[in-house]
Amino acid sequence: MNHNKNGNTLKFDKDMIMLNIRASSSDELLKEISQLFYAKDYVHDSFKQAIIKREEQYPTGLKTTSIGVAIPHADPVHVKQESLAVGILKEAVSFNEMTSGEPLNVEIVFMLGITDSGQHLIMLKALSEILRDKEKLLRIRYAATKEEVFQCILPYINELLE
Amino acid sequence: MKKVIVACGGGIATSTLIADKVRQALDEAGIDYQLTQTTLSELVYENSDADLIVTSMRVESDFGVPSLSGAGFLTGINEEAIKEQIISALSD
Repeated sequence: MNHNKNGNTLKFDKDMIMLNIRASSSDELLKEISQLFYAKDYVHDSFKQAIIKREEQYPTGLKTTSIGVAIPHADPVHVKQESLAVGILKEAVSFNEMTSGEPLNVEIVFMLGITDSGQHLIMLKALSEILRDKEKLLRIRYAATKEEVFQCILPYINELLE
Repeated sequence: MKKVIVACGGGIATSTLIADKVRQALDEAGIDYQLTQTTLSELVYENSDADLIVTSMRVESDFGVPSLSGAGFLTGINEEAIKEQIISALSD
């Protein structure tokens, strides 16, 4: 159990956003977005494979009222730092939907680095608020810059960043 | 006292959010409950005396206990319907 205060504070900034991603499969996409966590040393080496394996076993695609979204994450043992990355696809990639396991076109990926600190519920609640907001998801999907994406998400997670 | 189990893949992320919503719904309905969170793979060992199972993913097995999917609590889709199903499953 990690009660280190630094590890509990959510890390998210423009470096953790990727735009116009082209990927031929969900695996390729997950590897690509994982790189953001490696670049910041937020995760252990095993993170990428853990994310991919978990997605196969327990898919995270979610239908929303607008854009198809996936929320891949891994077991906390693979994570050093509570963190979030957002990937926006140039063209949709097929994931499996969480409840039914059926294929779902995904255009926005929220990848979570969860550390099992008390904060993950707050982070998920914030994420859930975004997933419910049709207009916000459309703005994120069609944002021209990372700054625009960051500003869309910031109000939901602001209190977690300090 | 109703026993509710909430399960997702890792038993930590999605199930935590679903559990929070289930608690809200049951508190509002004034139902006395005990809620535990687990993983889908451990569900098979823990369901014996449960009154309701809420999962992220649709489960194939019939545990002999009413079960339903709570993924809508993340996106808001059919949220009210899921709440009603939970309450009706636990109302005598």
